[in-house]
Amino acid sequence: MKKSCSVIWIILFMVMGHQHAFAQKDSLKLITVNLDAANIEQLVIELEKQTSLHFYYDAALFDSVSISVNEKNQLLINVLEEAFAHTDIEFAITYPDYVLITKGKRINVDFPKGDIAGERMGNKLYSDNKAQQKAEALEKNSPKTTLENKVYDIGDKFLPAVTTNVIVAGNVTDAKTGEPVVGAFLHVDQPNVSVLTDQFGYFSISLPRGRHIISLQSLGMKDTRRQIQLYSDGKLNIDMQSTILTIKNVIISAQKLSNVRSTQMGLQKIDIKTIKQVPVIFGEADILRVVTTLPGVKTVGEASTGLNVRGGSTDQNLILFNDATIYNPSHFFGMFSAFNPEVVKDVELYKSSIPAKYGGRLSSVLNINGREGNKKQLTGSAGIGLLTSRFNLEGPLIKDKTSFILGARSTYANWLLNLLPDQYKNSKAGFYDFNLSITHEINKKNTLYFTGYYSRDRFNLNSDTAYGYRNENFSVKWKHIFSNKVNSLVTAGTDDYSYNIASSKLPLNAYKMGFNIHQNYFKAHFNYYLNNRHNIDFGVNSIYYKLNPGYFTPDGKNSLVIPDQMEKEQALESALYLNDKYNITNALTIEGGIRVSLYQFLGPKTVNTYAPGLSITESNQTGNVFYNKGKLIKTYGGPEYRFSTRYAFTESFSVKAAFNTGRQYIHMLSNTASMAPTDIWKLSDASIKPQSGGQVSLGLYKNSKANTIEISLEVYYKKMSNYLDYKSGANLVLNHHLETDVIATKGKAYGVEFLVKKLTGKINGWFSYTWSRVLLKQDNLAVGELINKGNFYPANYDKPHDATLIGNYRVNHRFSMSFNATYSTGRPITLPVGVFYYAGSTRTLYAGRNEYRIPDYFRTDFSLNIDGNHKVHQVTHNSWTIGVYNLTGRKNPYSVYYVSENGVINGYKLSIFGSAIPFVNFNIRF
Amino acid sequence: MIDVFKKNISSTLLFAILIALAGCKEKFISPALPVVTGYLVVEGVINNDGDATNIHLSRTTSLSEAGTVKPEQGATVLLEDSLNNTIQLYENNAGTYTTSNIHLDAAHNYRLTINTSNNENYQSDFVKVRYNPPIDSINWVLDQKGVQLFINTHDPANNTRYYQWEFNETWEFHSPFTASLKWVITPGPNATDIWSVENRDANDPEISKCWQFNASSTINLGSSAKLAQDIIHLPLIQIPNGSLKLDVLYSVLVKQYAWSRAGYDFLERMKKNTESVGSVFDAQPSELNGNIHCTNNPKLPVIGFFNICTIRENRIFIKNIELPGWNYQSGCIKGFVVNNSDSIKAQASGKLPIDPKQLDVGGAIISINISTAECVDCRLSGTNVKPDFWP
Repeated sequence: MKKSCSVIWIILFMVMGHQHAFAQKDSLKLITVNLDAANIEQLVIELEKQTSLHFYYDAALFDSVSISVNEKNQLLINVLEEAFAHTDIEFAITYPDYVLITKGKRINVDFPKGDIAGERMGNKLYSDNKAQQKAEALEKNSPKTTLENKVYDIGDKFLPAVTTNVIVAGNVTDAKTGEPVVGAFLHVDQPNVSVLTDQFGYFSISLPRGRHIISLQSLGMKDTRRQIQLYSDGKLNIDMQSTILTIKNVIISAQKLSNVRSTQMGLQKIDIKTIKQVPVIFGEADILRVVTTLPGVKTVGEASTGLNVRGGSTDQNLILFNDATIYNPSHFFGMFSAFNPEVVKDVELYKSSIPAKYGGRLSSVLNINGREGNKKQLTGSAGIGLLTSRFNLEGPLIKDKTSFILGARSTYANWLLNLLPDQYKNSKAGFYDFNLSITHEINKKNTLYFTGYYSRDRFNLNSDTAYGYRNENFSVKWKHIFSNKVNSLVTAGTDDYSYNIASSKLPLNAYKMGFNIHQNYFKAHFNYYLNNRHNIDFGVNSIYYKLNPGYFTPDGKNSLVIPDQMEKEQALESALYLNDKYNITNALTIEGGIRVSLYQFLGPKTVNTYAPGLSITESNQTGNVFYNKGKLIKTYGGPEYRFSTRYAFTESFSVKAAFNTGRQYIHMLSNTASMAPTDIWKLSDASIKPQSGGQVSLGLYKNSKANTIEISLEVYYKKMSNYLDYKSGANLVLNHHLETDVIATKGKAYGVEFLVKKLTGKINGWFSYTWSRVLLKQDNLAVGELINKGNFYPANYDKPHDATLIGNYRVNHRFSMSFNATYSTGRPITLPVGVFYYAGSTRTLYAGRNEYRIPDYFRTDFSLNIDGNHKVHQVTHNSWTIGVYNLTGRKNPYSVYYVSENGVINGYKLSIFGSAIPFVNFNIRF
Repeated sequence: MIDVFKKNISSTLLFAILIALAGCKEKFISPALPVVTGYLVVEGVINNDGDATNIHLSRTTSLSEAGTVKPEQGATVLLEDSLNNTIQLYENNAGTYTTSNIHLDAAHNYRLTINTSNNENYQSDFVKVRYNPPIDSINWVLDQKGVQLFINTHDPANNTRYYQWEFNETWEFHSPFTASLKWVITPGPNATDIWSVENRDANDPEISKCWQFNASSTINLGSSAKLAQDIIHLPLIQIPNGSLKLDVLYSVLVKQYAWSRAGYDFLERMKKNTESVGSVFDAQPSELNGNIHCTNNPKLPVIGFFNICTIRENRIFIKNIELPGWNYQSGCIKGFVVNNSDSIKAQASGKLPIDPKQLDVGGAIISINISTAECVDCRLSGTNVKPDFWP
């Protein structure tokens, strides 16, 4: 008996803390013991006789102990307390039938509060990470080997086998920083089962009882494995070692198998290391710009961060940064993206089968996951670039329990503005952003996450017009693990975006104006891992929008400006969803989801009414109706379907198909070709209908060369309706009857995307090629003038051919080279069809929209990454990035336009980065 | 105005930043577009209770013909009221149809009908006679950037709201060098010319004092629609520091038009389509629909917006002495040439004599100061005919 427990002894020894072990059934028997100066063996024999309990202890520790106890019809606990009174002997009674006797310290067999009592998980014997550390400490020489060779007993071996399969769950963490490892791939060969860790590093896997080897792979982590002996449901926490040399691109993508295996289509995931090695303008690692190199993602122009995903417009992307919706993801008019690369862990772009838990946007979900702070020690980094510098600090607040990560960025672009023509000499521009995340692990089953994000841009034009915009986001998230099978995630937060402009140049007309959107949201997400065949997600989302469509107020006492305050708009968007991933056979998996969304446009608001059956114009307005606060003005809603299936022909080749639909209740208003900071958002209302759309896609996935090369080919066809376009000369700002200026258009998009990716080895990178079209149509005379005679016309971002090559060559551990090349068809433009003379000048005449194209786009960039020495134990680690943007200096046209100047028409081709632009960046980690 | 202004802030600054960042702007030659237009363009405002009314008719042309105006000749242009009374406008210059002494009744609606020589019939919507308040003043300020002229106007009834201005600038300027000499060319032996100089006299044309003109070529709009009162104080003309325009005496005549909101929108749209910079933050070109339609082919585009108001005018003068430190630099330099025919022919071709540089004891000219023709003869960049309104 003593021997049998010795394996778990060390493990148990480490688990301590609680005061009382709880009484169990057998220990509730009344017993009578009468011993005088007995040794411990005599006591145990006596007690084991009277109960069915097993006693565990190390006889060597108690050989000199003399026990006297005289109790009649007492509970076991009282007997033992009496027996061990005035000694340093501790005991713990566990369910169902163990008593653990220790010297000096009590073994904690209690469970944290919140545990599901009665769950047949029993007294799981934790093989937790502390134990592993202990084991590591004991066998310092080869900790990894030890951990990998150790057999972890999971569950209660004495428990009768009720089911063949049992569930193991746990967390995968980074051994060095204590941060969770997201998307780690866990795989068991017999039976062939694989799971991925969720965004908190949590996994749950169902396996038959017995001996198993779980192998683990993750981005930037060393591969590892664990041997387990499975008895019943239990926990297994696993530490993974990070690859210390950041320059070594051991990006064993968690996707490399999952790409073939998952049912997910059109998902692209890139980790921050990959993002950082792609050369970008000014050397500032830019998440959105790297996203644009992925197949199916386009932008209108070089200096704009608005994304067009598979023919969707820029407002059809849900950009989530740690669950917060970012309405304006760019700084400095799109020159930089608003995400500090130092606090980002990875980026996922869903462009086809969007999980049912996401909704509210038609085209894509761009999920940017922030990092959690280092739980073990205080570390940080700083970087200096040409235009920006950044700083981040992270570390534990309570070691191994609470950690924080703080990131800040600022710009010093004024030197750049000094290069501007004289008339802008007094201009100032700048931005900054802050990120703060705090993770607090209450206990093994409950973790809290606080996230805050603030970004601000502002500039002065000749010091008399001040202009600014900001994002403000805050969220609290609570992760709770009910059991190995069920976990939940509850999030609440607020997102806020606003811009404002103030001009005092002309006192009579001095004004302030602005726009604001505010949303409060609540999300509850549950994951129920039923068994190996069914994995069910369900939950509820709710967003309360409060939108201030605009104000225009006088600035200064001389101003004659009439204050104009648009009525606020409010709406509630709610959704219920259910998603089941069903593994029919090992080869065939289907995933079906339904999301039922409900949108309620609410008062207080005055709503314009229009004559029924007539087009919505100012002349057809019949009056208006006032709705009180909270009164329902208009409801929209309906089901959205998410369906995908995968059939794996072999381990490395699969075919997938997906169908999904969506609804979007909020629209961005912009009649510019690209996304501008002054674009405003509009909620669907009584007259403006939500956008809706659907997509079907089919894909082939093949991995080769031991999963180091992954190839995919996807085709899609997509339809959109009620996509907002504008009547000629529409006024979008401070328009009290906006519905009369917009027209609903239809759109269709289709394309083929090809991707080859190699993320390991000395040479790594990817090549993508997309052929796609996106066409829009406005053929309803009742809603306004026809565009291109009611025929389909290409959208601004319709660029049929698009190819990108991203390559990285690692010369040695300290030196690597990155290269990228990109080619695309020129974007469509409207060229003048004629000229006329009016108001003292020759002027251009436009007709057919987007019938011509600007010349094709081609660019190559190159960078060198040089790391300092790699001694692990030094105060700081330095690295340099030196590179050239647009290596060939090609004058890629950004736009082609005609302008009447001094009475004559001149056509111009404008290139933004019309020459090779060198950059340098210095980074320091501490 | 404010909306336009706001939009421009972002796009122009962005544009400037982008250009500064190694951006480059090149001339773009349009591909040949096989589009035939030839749409009618109608420009002009019926000048009620004012001087002459001029309506200009022309046709759109292809981009390759840019710069040539194609007037629409031989059309019948009528101003009609709702009771079918008509006033005809007669073509006095090619494409310009004129009448004068128009006094319309503000209680009636009027429209324009045009029958072109190729039998296209055009008709405008009926419009009201718009009140246009007189211009209060044109004031100016001198700052580091130069002289900024402002337009000031107001409608006490707060009714006009939408304005457009056109202006004609005139300025007197003097040749940087005042010539006392002129070339004299006489035939010499062997069919050669002999070049020499002579003093200028009263019979020679004026070449030192001239006038230049400039008419506005942008659409200048302003609105008080967002203001509590119909008061306008807006920048109209910017004269950069050191400009020739203010070297001596400058004058500007500003014409003010009042528009309906729809007419104003039309002009604003035209302005956005044709004058704003081509960054991707600019609005897409949109189609121009005015209030004039072709009655025998309603789908045929027509460019123009018919409007009736009294055209208001105001003229101001700015003297150079009002602008301390206004330092116009002509960039002209003097050279000299020895006074003999061969030297003059060899060294002074394309140049004009200014005055003697060196005389011998007898008063004969040894060498002559010379300069580029434009620096001596102002007629090469202007006219020496004094405008009748010039003081």
